[in-house]
Amino acid sequence: MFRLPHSFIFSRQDSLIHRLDIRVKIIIFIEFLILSLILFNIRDQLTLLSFLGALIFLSKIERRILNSLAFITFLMAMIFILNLIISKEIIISLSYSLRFLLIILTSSSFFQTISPDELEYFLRLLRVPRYLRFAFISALRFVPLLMLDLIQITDSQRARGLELDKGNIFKRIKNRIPILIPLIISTINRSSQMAEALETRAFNSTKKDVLCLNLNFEKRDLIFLFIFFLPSLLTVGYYYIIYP
Amino acid sequence: MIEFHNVSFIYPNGFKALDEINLKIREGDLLALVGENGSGKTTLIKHLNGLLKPTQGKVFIFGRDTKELTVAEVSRYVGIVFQNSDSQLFSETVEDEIAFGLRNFGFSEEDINLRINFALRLFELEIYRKKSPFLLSGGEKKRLCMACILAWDPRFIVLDEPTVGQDFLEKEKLIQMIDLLRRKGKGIVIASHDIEFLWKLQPKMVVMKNGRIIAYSSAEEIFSNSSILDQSNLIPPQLVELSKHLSTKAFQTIEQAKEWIKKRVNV
Ligand SMILES: Nc1ncnc2c1ncn2[C@@H]1O[C@H](COP(=O)(O)OP(=O)(O)OP(=O)(O)O)[C@@H](O)[C@H]1O
Ligand SMILES: [Mg+2]
Repeated sequence: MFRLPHSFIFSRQDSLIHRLDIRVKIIIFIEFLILSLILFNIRDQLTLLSFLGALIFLSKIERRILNSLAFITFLMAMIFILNLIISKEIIISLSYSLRFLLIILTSSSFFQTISPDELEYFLRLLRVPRYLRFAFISALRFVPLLMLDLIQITDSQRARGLELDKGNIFKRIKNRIPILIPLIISTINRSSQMAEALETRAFNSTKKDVLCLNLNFEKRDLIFLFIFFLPSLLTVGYYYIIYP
Repeated sequence: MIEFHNVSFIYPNGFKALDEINLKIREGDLLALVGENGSGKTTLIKHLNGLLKPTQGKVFIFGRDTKELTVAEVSRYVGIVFQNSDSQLFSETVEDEIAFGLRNFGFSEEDINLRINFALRLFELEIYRKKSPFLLSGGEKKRLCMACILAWDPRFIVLDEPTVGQDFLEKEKLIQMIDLLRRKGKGIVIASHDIEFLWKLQPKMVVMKNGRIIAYSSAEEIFSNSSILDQSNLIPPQLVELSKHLSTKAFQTIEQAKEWIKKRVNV
């Protein structure tokens, strides 16, 4: 269960995809997201899935994805079964669970390949106000720290004889209290420390907004933009040219 | 007795933090783990009560493999106070905080009371008994964390960075307490960067580097071996430096140094 959040946290890798221009990445992911939402045909979905698979391998994030696959498969099976009961159509149910898989994989690779700095740039493009952007980005940066705290606190309490998986369901929930309270407290402490640190460094004292991100569009970006636009072209091709 | 047999440990992200560790810790031993940041001290410590299980090799505690024991079972005998343990506090009062571990191990209420008294006295925290642990100072929190562990009287006591944030007087008290525990026959393991503090304890030292043990010997020998000091970026305690300049045997205490100098200077 600790594994799933990892697939939605930026993974610092040196890969072809990570090095792409942020604008190209955003275009590709928006395209993939739209396609995974609208495609409802197993053939098209599998085409998109193979491109997505290539993207995942090129960004060297397959290990984290595989780690969370067990949980994703479980949810997919649930979606499939529920749909099968309601619609009694195998193909449609399969499409629904594939759609879920595509959405998860797209968003997971989005968050794993776009660094918080780049994400801020993206939010800026969407004209999100600066304080909101900052709050969002710092919340995102907090997640890995929170997980470290969680591990450390759990270790400390287990060393004091706390047994998490003992007793009935109520006992088990109660067992979490000695972990939850310190976690909340350390998070509050950390955020107030951060607020103080920001103020001592005069955060938000000027209206000017500086971006510390290199934007450079190279030939490589163009090539990848083309390759990863193929799923859209193929889909359009299927519908309007091959089977009009 | 705690035994490490060829223990290697790899974190889930693929980082090898322990590499072929072989180590025996007996009751009555005082062992210091030293080494640079990231050399694997905390990782090794987490193997002592089974929080981490070796990727390769085995850890035996009183002859039993930690893989077959729960953390709680081992913790009854091996008490660990972690590096940032003050983040573990959660109770309403200091005494409840100490009682938490004791309740987990199933002590009777009567016994719990006695042990709370003992632990509070040991760390001079009696006046805070009914106070919230969150209102204590950093150093007091650290002492409370030690009190929490010592309350159930484990046979091995493991302290990760016990001197961080403690003032001079507290360090001296800590030294006395560790001496007392040693005389009571407890096995003690201390991971620390505080060389002056360790020197006063004269422990057996385990020097770690990149997850390996590169030296295991008495404090005196380690600090007189310049190749080990170089490899592990350790700086010898001032008394050792002094005796080196005077080309004599290492002084263990300031008194010894004084005696030696007095004899020669005739004051
Ligand atoms: N949960 C983890 N996942 C991956 N790597 C880790 C994890 N915890 C520690 N490490 C790595 O293992 C190595 C050893 O860490 P460890 O905490 O044991 O060092 P240490 O000797 O206690 O250092 P310090 O003196 O700073 O306390 C470090 O390089 C660290 O980056
Ligand atoms: Mg450490």
